[in-house]
Amino acid sequence: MTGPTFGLNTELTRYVNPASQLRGRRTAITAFLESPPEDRTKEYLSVNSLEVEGARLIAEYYRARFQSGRGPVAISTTTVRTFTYAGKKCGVDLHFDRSISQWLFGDLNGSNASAYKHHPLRASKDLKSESHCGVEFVRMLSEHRRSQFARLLSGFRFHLFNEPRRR
Amino acid sequence: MSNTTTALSADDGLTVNTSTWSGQQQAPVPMPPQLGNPNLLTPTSGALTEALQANWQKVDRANLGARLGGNLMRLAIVPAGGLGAGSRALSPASLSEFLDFWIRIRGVAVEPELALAPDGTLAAEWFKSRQQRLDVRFTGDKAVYGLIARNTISEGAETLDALVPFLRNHPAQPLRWNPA
Repeated sequence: MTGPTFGLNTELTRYVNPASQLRGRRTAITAFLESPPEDRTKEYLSVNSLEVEGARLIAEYYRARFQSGRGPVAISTTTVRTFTYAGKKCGVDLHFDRSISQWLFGDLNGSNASAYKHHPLRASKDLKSESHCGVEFVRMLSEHRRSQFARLLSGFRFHLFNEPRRR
Repeated sequence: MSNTTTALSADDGLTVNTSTWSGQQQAPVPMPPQLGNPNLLTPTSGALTEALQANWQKVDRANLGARLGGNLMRLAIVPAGGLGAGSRALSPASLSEFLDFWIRIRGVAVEPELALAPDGTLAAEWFKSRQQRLDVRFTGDKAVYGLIARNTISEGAETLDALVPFLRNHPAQPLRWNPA
C-alpha cells in the first residue's frame, strides 16, 4: 500500500476527545495540544490521513483506541494547507522541496526533516492503523507558539460518527 | 501587557471549514458530549479528585452556575491517562487560577465553555463566531490567551492582574460572547 502524498489539499484527521468538544460541535483549542512528550526529538502531533483510509475506518480506530470500543466518535479534519499555514504563522521554517515533492522543516538538530510523516501502526500486539501519521514540525513550537498553532486549527466543526448498528 | 496583536489579512484562513468527504455520511445529531462517552465519566474512585480537594472552598466561593459547574465536574473527574497515554488529570493549580479568574469576572461575563488539555490545564472559551472568539488556558502560573476580534488577534501569556482588566475593558466585550 502506498503512503500518503501530503498534498496541500489532502486532509488529515484528528481525534476530538469529549473534553475538547464544545457546543455546536466545535473543536476546542485543547484538541490540538499533545500530551507532554517523553522525548521531544521524537514528538509529533498524531493525525490520520484520509488519503489512506476513509473516515469511518479511522473512526473505528479512534473508538477502539480511545473509547474502549464504545460511543460516538468526534473527528476534526484539517487540510495539509491549513496545517502548513498555521506552522508558518507560528514561526516554523517550512519549505517545499520540489525535487522530492515534500514539505520540509528545520529540525531540532539543524537538519531538514519531513514536515509530515506516515507512521502506520502494524504491530500485531497493538491496534492497527494504516493511515496513522504525524505532523512532525510541532516539536519546534515553544509553549506559547503551541497555543497559537492550536488556536489557528480550532473552532471548526467536528464530524460525529455513531457506533455502527449491530445486526 | 506584553501581548502580540496581529492584523489579519483576507487570506488568514478564518473561514468556515468547507472540506467534505465525498460519499461519507455524517452521523445524526448525537446526545450531548457531556453524556456521550461513558468511559470519560468514570471516576477512579468515589473520593474527590486532587484538583477538587485542593480547591473545594474556592469552588464554593466561585458560585458556579449549574451548567458551568457541571462541565467543570465532568472535566475534574477525568483521570490521568483519560485523554490518551501520557495525559494528566486536571491540575490543582490550573483549577485554582481559573476559579480566581471567574470570581473576578463573573459579574460581567457569561459562562464560558470549558475544555481540558492533555497536560492537565483547563481552558475556557467564549465564542460568537470564528472571527470573534476568546480562549484562556490556565497554566497555574500565567493565563495563556487568544482573542480574535474581527480583524485582529491578541495573544499572550499574562497574570490575572493584567489579563482581567484587559478583557473587562476591551471594546468588543469578549466576555459576553455567546453563540447566537
